[in-house]
Amino acid sequence: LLVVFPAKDHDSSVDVRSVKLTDMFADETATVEIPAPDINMLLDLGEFFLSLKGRKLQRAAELLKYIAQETQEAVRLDEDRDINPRSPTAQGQPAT
Amino acid sequence: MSKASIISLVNDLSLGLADPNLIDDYFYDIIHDLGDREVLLDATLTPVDPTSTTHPVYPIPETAVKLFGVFYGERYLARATLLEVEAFAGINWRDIRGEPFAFVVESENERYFRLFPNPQEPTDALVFPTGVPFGLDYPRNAMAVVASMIRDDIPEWLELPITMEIMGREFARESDHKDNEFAQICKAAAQLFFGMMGVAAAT
Repeated sequence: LLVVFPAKDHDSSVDVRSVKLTDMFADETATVEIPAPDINMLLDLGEFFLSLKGRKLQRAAELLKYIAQETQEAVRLDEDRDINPRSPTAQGQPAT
Repeated sequence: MSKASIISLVNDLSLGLADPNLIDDYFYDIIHDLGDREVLLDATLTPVDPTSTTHPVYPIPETAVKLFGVFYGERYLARATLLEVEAFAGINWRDIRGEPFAFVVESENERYFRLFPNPQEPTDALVFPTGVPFGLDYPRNAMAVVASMIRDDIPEWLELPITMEIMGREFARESDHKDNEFAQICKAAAQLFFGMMGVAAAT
């Protein structure tokens, strides 16, 4: 069971990296505070590992594609913030 | 204890099917492959004693994969080829003494390098009264060798991509649990996770 809690806000000082997931799977249980924008990807990551372990390979492959797309989108938004600090995404508004 | 975490994770995700001996081999193969990139680097403080021999050479650390750079004192030395240094200073370049500004690996297979010019003074004693060998206590005329290393204590953020790469290799080999589709997904996940960490894939 993977339970994901949203962080208080986007600026919470939380370092979300593979280490958190690694710890989670190695130790069976863990509590991690996760910034809200990362929740979907982390849920997909969690489901990906569960699918992989359960040998539901078609689902795992689909999830990996989603994760790759979400990663590219996150990179694009970061670049957008760097290039244009006055863009809606740079000011905390969702991309349209 | 990163290697232990990886082995635990591989055993978990492979449902215990992965060969424990091969997990170890794959781990070190991947660490070796990562040695071509500036990922697992160590700096080793090395004393210089130019008076001990006419043409001193300095070893690349035993567990190093690739030599990335050398500092002498406060200076980051340029990497020079044998041809470059011979063109610059002639065939007797090894005899020239002065303040080093380059290092030379004479051939790719050699596990040592030379400083050019040869330093004139030996390194001060390697004693670190304040416990900061690369800071306040950095000895005068010391050399720091920066190289990628084979080691078990890798950063935690590399655990997940390495785990997936091991899984990909393990399930792609001929065995009673070979599963190409599973292996391909693991390999793709490894590439994605390495990419997320800013590291080109290990294969």
